[in-house]
Amino acid sequence: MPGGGGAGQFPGTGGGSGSGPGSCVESAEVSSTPMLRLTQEQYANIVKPIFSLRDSPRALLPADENLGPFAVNGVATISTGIALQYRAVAEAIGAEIEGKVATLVPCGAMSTDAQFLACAQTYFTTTAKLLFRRSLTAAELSNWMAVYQSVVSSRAATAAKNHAAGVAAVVEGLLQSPSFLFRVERVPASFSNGPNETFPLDDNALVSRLSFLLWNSGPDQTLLSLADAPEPLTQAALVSQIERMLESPQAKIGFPAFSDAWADLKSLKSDLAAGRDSHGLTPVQMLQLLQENRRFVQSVFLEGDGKLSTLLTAPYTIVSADLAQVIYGTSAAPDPSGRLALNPAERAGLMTNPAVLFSHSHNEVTSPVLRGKWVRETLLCQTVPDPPPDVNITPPVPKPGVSIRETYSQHSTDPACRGCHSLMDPLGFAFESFDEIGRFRTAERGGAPIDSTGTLIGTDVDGAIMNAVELGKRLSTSQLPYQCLAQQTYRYAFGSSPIESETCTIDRLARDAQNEPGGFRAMVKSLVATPAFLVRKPL
Amino acid sequence: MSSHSRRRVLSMLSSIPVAASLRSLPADAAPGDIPKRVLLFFTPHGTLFDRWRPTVAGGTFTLKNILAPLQPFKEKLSIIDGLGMTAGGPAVAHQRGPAALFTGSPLAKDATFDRPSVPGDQTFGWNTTPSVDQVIADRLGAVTPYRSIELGVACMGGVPGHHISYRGPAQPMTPRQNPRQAYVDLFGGFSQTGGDAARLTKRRLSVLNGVKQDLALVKSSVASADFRKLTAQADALAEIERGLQFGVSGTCVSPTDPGEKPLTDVDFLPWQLARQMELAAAALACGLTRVASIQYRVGENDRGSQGIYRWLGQTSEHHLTSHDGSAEARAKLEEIYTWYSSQFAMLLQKLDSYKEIDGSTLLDHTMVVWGSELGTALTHDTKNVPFIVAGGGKAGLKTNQYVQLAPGGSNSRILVSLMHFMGFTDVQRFGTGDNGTGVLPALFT
Repeated sequence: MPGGGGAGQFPGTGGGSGSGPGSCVESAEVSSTPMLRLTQEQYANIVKPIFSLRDSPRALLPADENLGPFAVNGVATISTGIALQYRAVAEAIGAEIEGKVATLVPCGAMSTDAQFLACAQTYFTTTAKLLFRRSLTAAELSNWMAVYQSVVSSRAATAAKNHAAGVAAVVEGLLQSPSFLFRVERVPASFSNGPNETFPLDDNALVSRLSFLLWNSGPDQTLLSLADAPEPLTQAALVSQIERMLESPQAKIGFPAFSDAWADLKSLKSDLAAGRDSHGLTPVQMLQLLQENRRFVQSVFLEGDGKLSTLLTAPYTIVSADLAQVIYGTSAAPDPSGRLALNPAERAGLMTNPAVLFSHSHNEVTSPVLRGKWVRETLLCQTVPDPPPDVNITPPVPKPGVSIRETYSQHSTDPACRGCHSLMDPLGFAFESFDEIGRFRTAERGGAPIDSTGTLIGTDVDGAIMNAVELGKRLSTSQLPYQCLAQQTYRYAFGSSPIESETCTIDRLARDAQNEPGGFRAMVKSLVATPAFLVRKPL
Repeated sequence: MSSHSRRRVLSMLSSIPVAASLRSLPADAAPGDIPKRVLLFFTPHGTLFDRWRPTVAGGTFTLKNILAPLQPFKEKLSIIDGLGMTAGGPAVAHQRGPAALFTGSPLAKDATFDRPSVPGDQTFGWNTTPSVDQVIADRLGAVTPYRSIELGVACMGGVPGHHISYRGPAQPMTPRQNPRQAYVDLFGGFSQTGGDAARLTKRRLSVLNGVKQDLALVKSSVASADFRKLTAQADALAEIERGLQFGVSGTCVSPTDPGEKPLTDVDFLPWQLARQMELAAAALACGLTRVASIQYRVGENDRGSQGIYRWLGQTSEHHLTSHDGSAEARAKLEEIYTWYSSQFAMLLQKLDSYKEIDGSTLLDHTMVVWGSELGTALTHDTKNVPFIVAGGGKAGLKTNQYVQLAPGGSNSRILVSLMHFMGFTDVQRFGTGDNGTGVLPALFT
C-alpha cells in the first residue's frame, strides 16, 4: 500500500500479482474517510458558472491541505482565520452580484416587495440546490428567507435595490454555510456512530462524489434530478452518467486537478504563479508548457484509448505553434488540433513531456535525482526516503566538459549515498537527452556528450535501459504503474489512502485500467461500483 | 451597561485620534489594569550559533553579528542558549519542529501523511496537543473580541510543518496571510465613515446569524466524526460575532491601510512581513486580542523560487544553502539570519511605540517569544534551539540577560513560563515531551 516501502523495499504487487483475476477475494471493508472541505478549485469551479463571475475567486481562498500529491481538505477544521477568509470571498462575490441582480435573477416585471420576495425565493431554491448539492429543507429555506427579509427591511431604497441587497446577503450566507463548504454526507436515521460502523450513501451524496471525481465540481441539474427521483439510483444509471460526464466540457475543466497533481507538476505551477521567468522561459511559455501536458494527457485518458501504455510511449504531442518552435525546433505548424507527430526514437509521451522534465530539473541544470525520483514515486508509487539530516543536498554544478554522471559519481560510490540513490540516479540518467525545459539534446551544457543509459531495479521489469523512450516502453509492460494509477485515483476520489484489505480491489482496478477497453475510463466505472464508493466509514 | 456600549460612549468622547496613543482601557483605569499579552514569532531553519551567540566579558554580554540589529532593545531581551525540542516523535525536524515548538509534544504516530521522512519512520500525523497560545486564549476566555490572532507570511498550509498554532489535536490555526484582508477584517470599521460601518456590521450580523442557524439545522444529520468539524466552524462563527459586537473603534488609532501587493511574488515578502507585524502590534495595542502569533514561512519545504532571498542579492534557495557547510554558504546564511533579527527588531520597535497609561510601553507588558523549528539547520539539530524572549519588563519578566543553560532542557520551560507570565501558575509541565518542570527561573524577577 502507499508509503509502505522503505529504502530497498518495495510495495508488493499485491495479492493479485502473478495470479489471475478472481483468485484475490475482495473485502467489503473500506478505509475511513473524512468529511471533505471544498478545495480552492472546487469552490471556484462551482461558483464561477452559477454566478457568472468575472474572475475566479480561487487565489483568495484558504490554502489547501494535501493527501499525497492531491489537494484534499480532510483534517484541518475551520479556524476563525479561515472563516474570515471565506467571509471575505463571499462578500466580494456578493458585491458583484448586487450590481447585476436584474440579469442574474430574472423575475419579469415587479414593483412591490412581495413580488420581489417570491422571485427571490425561487432563485434561492434553485441556486442553493446547486451550491448544497441537494434540495433545501423547508426549515433551511425559511431561515434564508428570514435573512433576505431582515436585509430588505433594514433598507429604505427602491424595492429593486432592497431586493438586490437581500439577494447578495443570502448568497454570502450560502457561501459560508457548512452545506456548501463541506461535502456533507448525511447519515441515515439508523446510524448509531458505532466504532467502524459504515453507512450507505444517499443518492445525493453518490452523484456528488461522482461529479467531484470527474468534474472537480458539484453535480449539475441532470445529476441532481436523478438523485431526487423517487426510485433509487442504479449502477447502470451511474455508468451512463459517467459516459455523459466524461464527454462534457466540464471534464476538461476538472481533470487537471487530478492529472497535474498525479504527474507532479507542482514546481512548474509554482513558478508560473510566481509570474517570473524560470529556466529561461517566460510565464506565457510556462503556461503553454502546462497546457501542452494537459492536452496530451486528456487526449489519451479522456478521448483516446485510455491506456497508460499509450501515455508512456506515444510519439506525439498537442502543442501551440509558438511552443513547438521553442521546444521541438520545428516551424512545421501543428495540425489544426495542435497535434504534432514526434520522432519515436526520441519521444515517448509523458516520459519525455517538457512540463514533466521542467518540473524535475534545477534552474540551470538537469537533475537525474529528481527525475529518477519522479519515476519511483509518481509512476510506481514507491517511496524513496528523504536524505539523511546531515548531508549537503545542494545540487552539484557540472564543470565544463564533465558529465552529469561524473558530477554525481559520489552517489554511486559512497556507501552512505548508494543505498537510496541507486533507486533514483540510474533512472534519472535515462532522461539526460533532455535539457531543463525538455528540449532534445546530444550534448550537455558543458559540452560533455550525452550518455542516456540507465538501470531499472526493484520492479517486475528490471534491466538495463538505453534511454527514456525505452524506459517508457518497459514500464508500460509492468504491473506497477497500473497499480499506482489505481491507488492514486482511489486517493483522489475519497481523500484517504486504500487500506490493506482493499488490496484486491486496487489490483482489480489496475487490471481494468490495463486490459479493459477505455483503460482509465473503464477503471473509473469499476471504481464507482466498489464498496469504497457506495458506503462510508466516517473518520 | 454592556462593555461594548461603554466603548462606544468613550469612542464618541475621544473621536480625535492622538498619534501613537492607542489604548484599550477605560479612561479611569489604573496602571495595575494594564493587561498582559503574549506574542509568538517564528522564523524557519534555526541559526548559526557561532555567529548568533553574544560575547561575554566582565559580567556583561555584547550582541554581535546575527543579533546585532537587536542592539536598541538589548535591555528588554533575554537570549536563551541551551533549550531544545525534547518532544521527539515521527517526521524530520522541519516537519515536526513547527508543531513541537509551541505544543511541546510530538506528532501523532498515524498514517495521515504517508510521505516517508526518515528510514524506518515512514508515516506521521498531525499535532497531538494544543499550542501554548491557544491554551492561554482558552484560559483567558472572552475578554477580548478575538481570543487570538494568527498572522503569517508564505505559510502554505496543510501539513504540520506549515503550522505553529493549534487549537487542539489536528486543529491547526491557519494564519491570515493577506495583510489587506487581515486589516479589513480587524480594523475595517475604521476605514468606513460611522454610518457605513454600522450598516456593514448590521448586515454582517444578519448574514452570520443565517449561517449559524443553517449550521444548526445540518448538525443533526451528520456522523459524530463530522459533527466535530461543524462544531469548530460554529466556534469560529461565534468568535467573529463577538468581534462584530465589540464594535472596536474610537479609543484606538487604526494602522494605515496596507493596500494590495502580489503575495506570490517573493520580492514582496519583506513588505508582507512588515505589514503583518504592524497589524499584530496594533491588534494587541487596541485590545482586539491578548494573544497573537506571527509565522514567517514554514519549517518544511521552504524551497523553490519562493525560498530565494532575492532582496539580499541571493540566488540559491535557503533550504539548500542551509545544508551546505561551505564558508560561502555560511556567509549567505548569516545574511539571512541577520535579516531575521532586523525584522524582529522592527516588531519590537512597533510594540515599544505604543504607550500605556503609566508611560510604559506595550512591549513592557507583552512577553514576546521568538523561536524556530530547529537549531542548527546543517545537521537538523533540535537539541539547542535559538530562543529570544523580549518585553514583559514591567509585568514580571527579567530582561537584559544572556542565559546560558546546561544542555538537555526542554522548550517546554518557555511554554510554562508563558503560562505563568499570563497568571496561570498552576501549570508546571507543558506538552507530552516535557522532561522537566516549572518555569525557566532566569526569566522571572
